[in-house]
Amino acid sequence: MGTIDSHHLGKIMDKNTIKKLTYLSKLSIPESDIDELSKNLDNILKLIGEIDAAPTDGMLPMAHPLDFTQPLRDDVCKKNINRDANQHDSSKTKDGYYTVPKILD
Amino acid sequence: MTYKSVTEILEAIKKKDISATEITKEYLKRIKASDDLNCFITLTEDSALNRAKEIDKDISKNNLKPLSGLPIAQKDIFCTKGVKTSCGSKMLDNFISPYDATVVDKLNEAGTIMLGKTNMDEFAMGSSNETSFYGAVKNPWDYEYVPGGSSGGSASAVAARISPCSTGTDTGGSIRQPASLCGICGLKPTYGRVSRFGMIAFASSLDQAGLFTTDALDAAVLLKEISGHDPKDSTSSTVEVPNYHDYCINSDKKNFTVGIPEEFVNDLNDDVKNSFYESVKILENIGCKIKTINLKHTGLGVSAYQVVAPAECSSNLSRFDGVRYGHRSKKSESLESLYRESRSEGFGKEVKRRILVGTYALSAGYYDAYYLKAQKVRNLIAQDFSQAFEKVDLILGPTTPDKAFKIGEKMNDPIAMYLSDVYTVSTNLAGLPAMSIPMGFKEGMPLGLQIIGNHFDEKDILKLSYLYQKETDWHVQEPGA
Amino acid sequence: MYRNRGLSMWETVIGLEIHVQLATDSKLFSSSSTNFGSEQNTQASIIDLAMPGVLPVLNKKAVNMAIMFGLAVDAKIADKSIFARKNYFYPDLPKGYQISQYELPVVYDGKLEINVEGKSKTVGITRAHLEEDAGKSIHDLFDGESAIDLNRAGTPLIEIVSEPDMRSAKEAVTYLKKIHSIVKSLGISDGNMEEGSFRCDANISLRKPGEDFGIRAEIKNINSFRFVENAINYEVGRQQDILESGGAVNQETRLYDPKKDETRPMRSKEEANDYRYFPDPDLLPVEITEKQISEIKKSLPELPDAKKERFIVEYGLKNDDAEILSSSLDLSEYFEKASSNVSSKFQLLANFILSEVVGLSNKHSLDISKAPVSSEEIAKLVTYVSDEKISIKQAKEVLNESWQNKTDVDEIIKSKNIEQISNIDLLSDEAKKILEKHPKEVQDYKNGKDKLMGFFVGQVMKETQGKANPKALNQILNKLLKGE
Repeated sequence: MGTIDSHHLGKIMDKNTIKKLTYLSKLSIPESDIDELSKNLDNILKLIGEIDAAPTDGMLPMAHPLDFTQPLRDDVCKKNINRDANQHDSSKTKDGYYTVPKILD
Repeated sequence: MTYKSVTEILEAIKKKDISATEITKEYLKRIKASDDLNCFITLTEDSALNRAKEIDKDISKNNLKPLSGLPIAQKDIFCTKGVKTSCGSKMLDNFISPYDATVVDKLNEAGTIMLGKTNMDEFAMGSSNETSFYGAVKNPWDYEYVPGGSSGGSASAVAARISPCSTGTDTGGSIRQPASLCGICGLKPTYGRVSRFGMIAFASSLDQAGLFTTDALDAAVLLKEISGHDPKDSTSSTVEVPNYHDYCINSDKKNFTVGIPEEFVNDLNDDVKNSFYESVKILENIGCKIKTINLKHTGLGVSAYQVVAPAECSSNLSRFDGVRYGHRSKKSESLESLYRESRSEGFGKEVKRRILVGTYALSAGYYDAYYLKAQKVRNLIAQDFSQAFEKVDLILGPTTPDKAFKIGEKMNDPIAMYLSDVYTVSTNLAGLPAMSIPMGFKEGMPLGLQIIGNHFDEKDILKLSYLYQKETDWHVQEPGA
Repeated sequence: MYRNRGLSMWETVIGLEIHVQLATDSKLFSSSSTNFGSEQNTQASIIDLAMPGVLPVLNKKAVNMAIMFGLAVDAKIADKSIFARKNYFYPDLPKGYQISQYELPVVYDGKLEINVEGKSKTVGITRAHLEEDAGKSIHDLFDGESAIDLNRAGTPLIEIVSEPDMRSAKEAVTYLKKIHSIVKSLGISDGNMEEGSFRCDANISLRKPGEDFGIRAEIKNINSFRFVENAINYEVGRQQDILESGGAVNQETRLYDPKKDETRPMRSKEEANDYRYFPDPDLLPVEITEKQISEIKKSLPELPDAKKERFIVEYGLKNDDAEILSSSLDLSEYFEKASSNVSSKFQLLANFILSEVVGLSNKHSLDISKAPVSSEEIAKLVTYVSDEKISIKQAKEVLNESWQNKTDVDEIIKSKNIEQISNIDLLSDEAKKILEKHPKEVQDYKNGKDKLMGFFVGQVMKETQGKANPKALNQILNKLLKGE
């Protein structure tokens, strides 16, 4: 899909789309908020849809504003880990492990 | 005790006219007296006084660092070791950072004393500081008005003179816009000039740490201390850091060629237009040559920004899942509900909106039309600027279309809120440095002048601002004075 | 139980994705240690834990190792490659995304020649890219909870993706073993499958020859060569049954259960996911120059193909034997260690290892590196055979016993008095005795029943408890029978 389908710009963020997006992003929106959210999101999409008409033929996407390349780090191991400091919120750990509800595989 | 600027404070401390402890106590007093501004999320009173004591000891041994004894407020987006770092969000309300951000580290090394962590729009998403979990920040010029955002607390604190300077971050205008609305100087350096390590990420290719001060010379002094390559940040630049203060005071440069983009001045209201053109006259008197230029694709800036920033933030915020730190919901019978409930309880409405938009823009079938296209538009905008900089040294315009708006006025209209960034977002998309300095008032509320430079040309922006501030006194006006 | 039974109308199509943990000291994007087996979360830094505000910085050695691999498989090395974020939620993935490569991987368009049962075949290698490993989740430690250990999170991996060029489990295992041998020879990985530093996912589908590719199932995280073979065989049988009964194969992810020897669908953490790949804005494009590549090329250690050539030249081995021995690092090491203790009978040694030692390893489901009989012991046996001290048959028996009881070869030969009888006089005496005992058979042999030679040999063997040197005995009998 190369361009934004402007015919549907008014109705993209329907319940199903929002459901899919909240699944991917692990959010839950209460039923009572869906209508307002849907309207807001559609307005935002209309705003950003303006880029569709931009004359970008032959342009490369700009991932970084400056043209540098990745610096490399020497393969040296640093022993500077303080598990207690990192796990200072003990409500989430047990015996040094992080714990979550049991995952069934 | 009234010191008007960072440079005055540093001079006084050097001359031993005042001790670090005395000045720290003074600002702490002012902060507590202005509690209703709601500038601070965390006041680090005890550690500030302890540090001041240490610094006084160093000073007595003549062991002076460039910023010894200078009190500073840190935006609550910078990780501070052992201190709560909330990013304005319920999600991190219980988060004590185990490490210091590089910016914080550098400022500590240089001798500053952290007064506390300032209030901000949640996860830096906002232009009014109304999305904070900790409540709105007030504009000290008129408490019914917003200070701007997302660095509202930092801007308001400096404007109210309860901190001599502060740090902020700017992704789409979050330093410059509040500086403009609060009548102070706000500097966003070139992307990569300052390390992002320890700065909670919103949009990684746009975020940059910066400064709030009352005048340009202060910004020059501080910029040198926070700039420089950081091996912990792959995107930080190795370009040499000049002595900005020295350049401002000692260089002869004043005949800048300044370009005014038609697109920046076409829709101005009369007050802003008048203020702006008076400033232009002043620059001409200083010796600048004024040219009209075009930044053809500026109009697409907000749209492109509202694709790129949400897309990157939707990914950057995935780490906030309630598993290792931060808010974890009590409703966690399953992994799925742990994720969903923790995140939904922890994030506010604006953050959720941006995550959803960003997820959409990156999703299968839409990536080309949205994210990829927006990155191409970004290139168009960057090209406009680089072509302009072949003809001019600096680019000028108003920072915001108007003065501050009232608290609550735009909260139900996200689009209106986004459009207030129209003059600032393009510089983030192109990675350019820019500064907002006070240029006048409308109905008693400050207006800001934006100066944009080419990559790594902060010194020219600061120099021109310094020269402008020699001829004007907008920057010394204080609210309630 | 599904078993691979007569696939006359179906063609098996197999592609493998191999995850190889690189043997760097520190992780791909952080300076934490990559040691195996440390106490939980003691090797997880603020960067590995995805604390707010942290940023990745790329490990130079990992890039060099990827380049080494690319050179070893005749692949192209990208002059600019990009890291991308693969977004999904799982507790062993702290950032909520994995830093991997999507478009523009560091290595692409490679190939590997393999030799299966005497036939040579080229397997295409689509790409090999760098990515970080996830942590570990342990589900049986605490009641009602899963435990997460992030020590492994951030360890560098290369993911090697083959073209769907393999057509049998044997081809797949041969390819897998050769890749294993390459990464170990290069020193870029310890290839330890039990510790998880070499893991294989198999994509398997069936089709009627000439038709388009069928729907494929992915079997994930298989960590032994034997399991790979079994899993593929099971899966092929399962899919064959489905297709032959008119059904359709589900495109799904499955796990191989070695205890039950079957594959079953996985309640996947990556189910119904849209990974939303995009270039990671915290990392810049990785530039690799021709100069870097040529420097690395100069310092590459010996690779399997070069080893094979060397085995042919140095040891005089047959092409096929050299191919097999060089394609497995364990096997080639075993052979070379043994060969240093054998004066010249290298082909004999190779034969013996390939038929007997490999045979026993397979029978007992062991990797050759775990063989209870050392290469020095094998060398001894082969030397004794070549010196005609014992026969090949005897050598096999000694080997079997040594393998079972873990006793020394010399001890067994001594205690069982196995030494071959090669003494001409002794053998002549025995032979004469036998011929005298069986005059009718002698007459029949002289009248043309050549097969009776075997009978005579057998009788002498019986008398000598199998210790007669068969070659010498044959010569003697021939002489006696012709001479009379």
